[in-house]
Amino acid sequence: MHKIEDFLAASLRDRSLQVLLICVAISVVLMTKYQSGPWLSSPRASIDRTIGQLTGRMGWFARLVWLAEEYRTLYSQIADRTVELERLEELRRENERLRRELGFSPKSEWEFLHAEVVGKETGRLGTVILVNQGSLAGVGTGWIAYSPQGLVGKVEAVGDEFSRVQLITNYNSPVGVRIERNEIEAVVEWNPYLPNRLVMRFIQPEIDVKAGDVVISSGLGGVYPAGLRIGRVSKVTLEKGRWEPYVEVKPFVDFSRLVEILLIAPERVKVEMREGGLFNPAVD
Amino acid sequence: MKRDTLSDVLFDIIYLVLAFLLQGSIIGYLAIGPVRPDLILGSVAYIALRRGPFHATIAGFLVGLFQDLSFGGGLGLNSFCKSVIAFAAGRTSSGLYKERYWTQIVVLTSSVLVHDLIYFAILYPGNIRGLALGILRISIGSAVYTALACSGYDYLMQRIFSRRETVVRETPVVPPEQQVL
Repeated sequence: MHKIEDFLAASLRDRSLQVLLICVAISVVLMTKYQSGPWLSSPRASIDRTIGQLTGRMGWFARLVWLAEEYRTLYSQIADRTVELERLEELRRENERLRRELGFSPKSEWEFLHAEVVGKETGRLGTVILVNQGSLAGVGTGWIAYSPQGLVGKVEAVGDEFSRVQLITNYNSPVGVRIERNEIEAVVEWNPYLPNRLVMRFIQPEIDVKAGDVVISSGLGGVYPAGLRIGRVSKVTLEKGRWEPYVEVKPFVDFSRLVEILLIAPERVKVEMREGGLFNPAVD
Repeated sequence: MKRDTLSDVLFDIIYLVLAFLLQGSIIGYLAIGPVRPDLILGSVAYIALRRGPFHATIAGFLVGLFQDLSFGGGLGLNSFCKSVIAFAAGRTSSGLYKERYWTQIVVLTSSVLVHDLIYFAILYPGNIRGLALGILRISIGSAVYTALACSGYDYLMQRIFSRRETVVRETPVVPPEQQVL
């Protein structure tokens, strides 16, 4: 008994243990009581601005190396794309003409806002990025982030000059999807055990899905427009005791090497979805 | 505050701030699949090795809180994990010969593994399979990568600031070369 008392007395005199207990107590209170709230948005916006300005400059060194490599790749792709674009432009005009003849209104044009990635989440999972466009440029919460490789995510919080983008690999970003080959619909969401991978949910056991299938957004749910490239099925397994197969999707976007993104206003997307006859709870 | 202590504290602040900025900008490009070094956690472990548990716990808590405020979904997770790790690394390494490179690597690697164990246990409560998968797929590689990257970062910082960091110990330790069997 005396030994325990001595041990407790010695522990209470231990300065570092006292500090640890205080830190742990504060952290636990923060974790349980103050997970999030409106009071957090102001200090977070100030921190985002400071970090965005500093990391944006530091990131330039790394980006220069990647940009040189990307420049070589993209330069060769531009020629192909230019020819394809001309063909698509002709198809677009034809599509508009046919829609008018059928009495449909012409499809709305998307306006892209270009943004640079200036910061990345420093935590273990890395599913939030900071970009250098904010409310001053007209960006608002819910804007869609896209890159030429595919869907990136959506804007979660906006400051004056910077915005936080929640990647589709974030726990809070499920996406309604469709398998391009056979139009089967499902939902993809974050894979908590493997960063930069998604898991497909709400699929039937007898579903025809194979490794290599391309997955695109379905437009259901009212968050993302239909037809955006998301990723490719990388693994399909049927585990014992589970009726739903495990389908893993590898996104087309390499989130660890994102340098620039395009932001799309959700209003445009909603208009297009309504015209396309898709259910959109935010509008309908 | 003594001049030496003030200089140490200033150096530690610069050390952590730079680690934070590098983690948010350049480190992402060094990722190998899901594995990437955690410079912030590595820096906290280095502070624990040098200054002991008292300073390291405060440093871990503050840098963790800043991490939570800057990108975290909720508050408290990183501050909790980092204070515990800083304390544990500072306390358990007090009996080790910390000047040795390999000792530092082992402390850094174990710090990341224990950090992730706590982190994933809080993130996926009650999910043993998820915890094991997270450790297997992410943590083991990240731990080794962090230990290697942080030793490079520490070496560079000491060269840039022309410092030769000494180790603060609570108990005297005989270097392994001088130990008589």
